[in-house]
Amino acid sequence: MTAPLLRLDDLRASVSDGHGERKQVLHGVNLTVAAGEMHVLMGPNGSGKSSLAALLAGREGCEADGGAAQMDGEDILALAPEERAARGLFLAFQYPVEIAGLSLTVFLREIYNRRREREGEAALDPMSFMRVLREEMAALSMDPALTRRAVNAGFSGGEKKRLEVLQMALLRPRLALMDETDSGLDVDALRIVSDAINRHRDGGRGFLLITHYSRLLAGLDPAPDYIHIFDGGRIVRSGGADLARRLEEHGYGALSEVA
Amino acid sequence: MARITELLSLSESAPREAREMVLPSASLEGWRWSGLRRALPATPFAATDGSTGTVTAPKLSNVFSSMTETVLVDGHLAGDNNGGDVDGRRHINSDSDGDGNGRRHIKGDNNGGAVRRHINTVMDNNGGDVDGHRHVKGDSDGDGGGSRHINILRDDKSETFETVARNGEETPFPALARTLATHPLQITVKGEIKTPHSIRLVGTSANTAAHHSLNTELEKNASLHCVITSEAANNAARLVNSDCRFHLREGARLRLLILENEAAQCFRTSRIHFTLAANARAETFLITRGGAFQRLEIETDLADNGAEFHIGGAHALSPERQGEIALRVRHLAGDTLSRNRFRAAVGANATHNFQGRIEIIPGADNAAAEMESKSLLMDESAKSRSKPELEIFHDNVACSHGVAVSPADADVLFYLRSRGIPLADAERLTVSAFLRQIFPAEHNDEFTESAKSRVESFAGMVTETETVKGQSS
Repeated sequence: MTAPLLRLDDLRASVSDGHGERKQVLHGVNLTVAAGEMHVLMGPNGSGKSSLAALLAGREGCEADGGAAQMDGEDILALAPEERAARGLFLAFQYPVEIAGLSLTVFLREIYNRRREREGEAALDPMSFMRVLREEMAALSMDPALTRRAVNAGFSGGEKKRLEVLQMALLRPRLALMDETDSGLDVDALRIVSDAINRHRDGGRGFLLITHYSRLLAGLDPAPDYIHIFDGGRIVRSGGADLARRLEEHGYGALSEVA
Repeated sequence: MARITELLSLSESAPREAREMVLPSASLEGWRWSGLRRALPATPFAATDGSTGTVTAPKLSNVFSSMTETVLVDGHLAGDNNGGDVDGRRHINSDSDGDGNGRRHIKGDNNGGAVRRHINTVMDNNGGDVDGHRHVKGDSDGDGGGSRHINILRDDKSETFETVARNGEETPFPALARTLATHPLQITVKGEIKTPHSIRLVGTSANTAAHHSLNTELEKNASLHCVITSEAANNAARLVNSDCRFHLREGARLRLLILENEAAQCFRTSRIHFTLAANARAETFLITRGGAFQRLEIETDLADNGAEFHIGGAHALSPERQGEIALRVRHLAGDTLSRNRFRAAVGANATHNFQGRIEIIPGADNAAAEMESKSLLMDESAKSRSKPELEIFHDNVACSHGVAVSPADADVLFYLRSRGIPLADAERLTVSAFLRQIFPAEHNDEFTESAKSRVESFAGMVTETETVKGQSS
């Protein structure tokens, strides 16, 4: 039997509160994402959604206190962030960082060629890579002039989020964690991002989307396979696409009881 | 002859002289932050391995595909010394007259017997002359006569190492360099020199002391791209001491790239002095790895209206290294501009010091100055001390300064690693990105790109422990 793409069993975690104490943020998360599936986590502010994404990607300071997280049957919590990325885990950041001085083109070529080499393909020379980059940027309606800047330097909120999606397109991850990628996007940008996600869905990839709103979901085709309501550091209710609609109507309070 | 004997003796005893003399404190509080006193007892130019070698693969050579080049190996001119002049003078006429061949024509003899020999390089863009002597200024035989525009080594006995060091605002090393330079260089530039001129200070031998003196004069509206590299071909531990002066006359343009890749045990001191006349513009990039001890003194006089000085300095300090910059920019006239931007990436147990002072004199109306020094500490044991100063004696000016010292941004490192970049490479990229902030965003010409590539190559060394001969890392 093939192991699921992602499996979380009673996963618990804590973060530093900045004063030497630790605060528990995940209180037993159980979730299974099979290849080809799209799962959506929705929940109120502070419920632990982003902490879950950070823990899975390997952010320092967010530590598992118990339970397990496996990708293709392998314990990913024991791996360095780059090792998780090498296995196909990708996190689209809620707040992408600016890296002054690091050319966006150089950065993208670096991660793109590293991915190619991991997959046994030859690295692309700068000219060939630029052709690939221009195509991918055009698909996201990104201004080519951005390539002359440093990573996220002077980018608008929407440009930063599109850059995250661009990186996803270049890295072709097997499991994409998208942390509020829809926040800060105008209506047109939201459609562009939805379209990009749709293009990258196939039977071999899984998605775990974190969002507050159902507006992103409206543009996803096919619709997400599962909607989960996340509250108090765990999944409290799961359902199909109609759960998001009911959430819009009734709010988190009415639906946050453990199913 | 007595004078020669005296100089030779001084060369050999220079380290001891430096230790014993009272270091001056008139300039930038002198050596207050300096690690010199601490470093001197273990001077790296004490014997290490005694090896010597040839310049086989200098690390910083071939900065540009074509350029004229002057090479000094262990303080001595390398090149064709078999010319036919019999007058005891040395003339180097750089052929930069637009024919694109980038060749120099070296003439001269080497039999003068004096310990010092002046080298005059005259570059012009006027073509026509075939004798190569048309623009040589004055004599070069050290007798003090002739009509040189700038005397790089006065034979006036009043200007000796000790008197200059003690009477002037200079620290002792520039005077020492001028006094002991075996082959002082003088470059006079006329017109626009399109081919970059390279001056390479190469060290091949451990346990040596090399003193360099360079005096460059750009005449009215002249333009020059110049690259000065200082490198140890065989990881040679040595003392390298240089004094460089750039005098830009009205409307002159200078682009200067200084690259230093000295051995971990190198003891490096240098002073660079710029004087800019009206509407002259100097742009300098300084990229260095420091050494066992390194102190760079940069002094700039914006002497007349419209003069502009831009400098970007990057220190990539590998573990255990030390690097120090003392900057002083004087706005001596109105409508002058200086932009001074420095970055230092500091490895484990490395130390970085920065002292910067902007001075604006009374009457320097509409002067503008910016000074910024930021340090990136790549280890808890790394140290950086920065001290910016503004001395403003006029009201209608615009001045700013800023200093920051911080560890590597954990969020940036995580972001890079989450994209599949291993920690060591993420740190290298972080350092490189940080140091590249010295370059103006809009600059992407060959000169700047070449400088950027050097930053890339140095960036990876900041977190790498070096293997020093005789030690295990």
